[in-house]
Amino acid sequence: MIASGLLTPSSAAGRVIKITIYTFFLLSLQAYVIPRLPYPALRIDLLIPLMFAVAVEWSPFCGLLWACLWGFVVDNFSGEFWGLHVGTYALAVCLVNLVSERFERQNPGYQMVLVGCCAAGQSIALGLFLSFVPMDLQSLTSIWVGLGIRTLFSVTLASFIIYPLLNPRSEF
Amino acid sequence: MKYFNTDGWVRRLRGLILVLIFITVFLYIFSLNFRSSSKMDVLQRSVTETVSPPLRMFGKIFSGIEELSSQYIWLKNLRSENELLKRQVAELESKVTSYQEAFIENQRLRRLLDFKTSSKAETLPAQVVMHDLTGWFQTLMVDKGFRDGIAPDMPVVNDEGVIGRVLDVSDRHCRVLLITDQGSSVDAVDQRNRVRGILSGKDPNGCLLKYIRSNLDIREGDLVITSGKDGVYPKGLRLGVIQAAYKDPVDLFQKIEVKPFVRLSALEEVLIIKQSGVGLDVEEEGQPPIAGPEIQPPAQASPAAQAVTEPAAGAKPVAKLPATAASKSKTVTKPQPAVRTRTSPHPQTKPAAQVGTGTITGAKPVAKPPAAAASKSKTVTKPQSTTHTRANQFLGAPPQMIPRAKSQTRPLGNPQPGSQDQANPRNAGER
Repeated sequence: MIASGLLTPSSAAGRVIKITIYTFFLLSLQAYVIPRLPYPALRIDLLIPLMFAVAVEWSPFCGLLWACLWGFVVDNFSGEFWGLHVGTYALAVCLVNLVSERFERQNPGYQMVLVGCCAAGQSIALGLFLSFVPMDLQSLTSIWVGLGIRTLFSVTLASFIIYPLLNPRSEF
Repeated sequence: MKYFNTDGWVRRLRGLILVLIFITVFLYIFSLNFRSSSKMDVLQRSVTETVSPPLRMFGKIFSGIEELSSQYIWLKNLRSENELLKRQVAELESKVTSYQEAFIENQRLRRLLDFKTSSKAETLPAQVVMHDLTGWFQTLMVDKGFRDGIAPDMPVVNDEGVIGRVLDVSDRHCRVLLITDQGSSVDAVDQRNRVRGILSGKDPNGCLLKYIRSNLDIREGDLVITSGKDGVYPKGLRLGVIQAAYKDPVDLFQKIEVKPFVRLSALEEVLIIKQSGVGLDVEEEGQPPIAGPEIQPPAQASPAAQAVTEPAAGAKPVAKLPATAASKSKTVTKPQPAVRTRTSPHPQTKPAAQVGTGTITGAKPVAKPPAAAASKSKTVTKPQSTTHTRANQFLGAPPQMIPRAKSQTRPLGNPQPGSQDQANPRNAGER
């Protein structure tokens, strides 16, 4: 919807507006829909795939800036484990820039692999953070299983989240 | 010039500066993990104050859609639900009448007993702006900040019990750490036998009561309240109910799971207590002191004693904190089996002096009842109103007592023949 119609970007400003609106939309979903999901395993990070699209679309510097900005916003509203989201989003941008010459960025398979790598990294960091608190084996297992499923779920949804920004019919 | 390429140098230098800037930014953000709870810094505040309003607007739209769907789409059980509610209203109306009587009686007895009025804590209603974005941490953002006089470590409650405490404060918003967060610790006490422990978060739906020795008597259904010893939460606020207690023969401590009273995932309004720490006790006076295993009640207490000390199953025992008039118009105080636990944990077996171990300087001596009605009068002479009243005063709400069970509404004086007390088979059994 955002990728076509009035907001079809033909200029740099149009692209910025489009990505900003889409980022805000995803952030809103992250704030009001994701935390309400009944199972922790379903609580994915919607902004990781977005950072993939941003990295493809913009220069590394702008991508990193965007990643830091929104990572800080998400960290700020989480209030714990500062740096988790900034780090993950920056990792996503760097990773995409590193491998962009070898990967076909429109290919959903590659998108899923890269987003999966970032989501896995985030899940591992999150799991280690949550494991700081001593807990029994059952709780620990449930956390790690949940994080594993979360990663897989992120991989599954990655292409759908990236699509509005990087679809082939889009002008960029 | 052949060996010195200016463009290359500039490019490298620029890249290096960018990397340094990024590392600095990341280190700054990461360093926020190690700071103590305080007022948010400029960057945090600007992000919070800028992003919160539009996100909140989206939240309202989302709630509107949700409400619309729940109102107009899910109507299949509306008729039966309506009839059920009508029946409930009729029942409740009749109950309200009897409770009003109890309230008047409560007022009269309060005057008779000359209770001291507790200090009134100032509370501030706040709306939840959003829950933790990731869903993995147990924090939420509310719409009151230091401009409203909020400071870190202020307790946050609602009418059901404790929610958490203020973690960080921005201009018009503050972050609340819920009691279910793994980083949260509350000094808690089992209301039945005054065993103390630390309540920590376990997962979004539960907490753990830690450091309770295996030889102590913890039972499923026991009420867990704040002890007031941690300097953050006032004494006597309801935390949760013990869901399960596991004793491992090789472990020094029990594993006790506590279910919080508050449904933390569906919070919309909260109440911030603007004074935290000591001196805001919600509990009644003359309560046995909090202690460890020394004052554990005997395992084989008399049935009467058990009946007195055990909270009724399914009942919400301690002070049900009322929302202020600003936050909720319906300020109903719920009754307390907790009141019953004001009696000595060992009503028949130990005198009050032993329980106190000589440390209760402010405790009132318990009048020894006539031998014939010992158990009865112990229950009766502990005024049920105390907890409610002080809790109400504490939160600035009108004192209103609505006992939950019939046995709690009985007159606090000596029961007359044929009174409700005698009609209650359980009480009759006690006697």
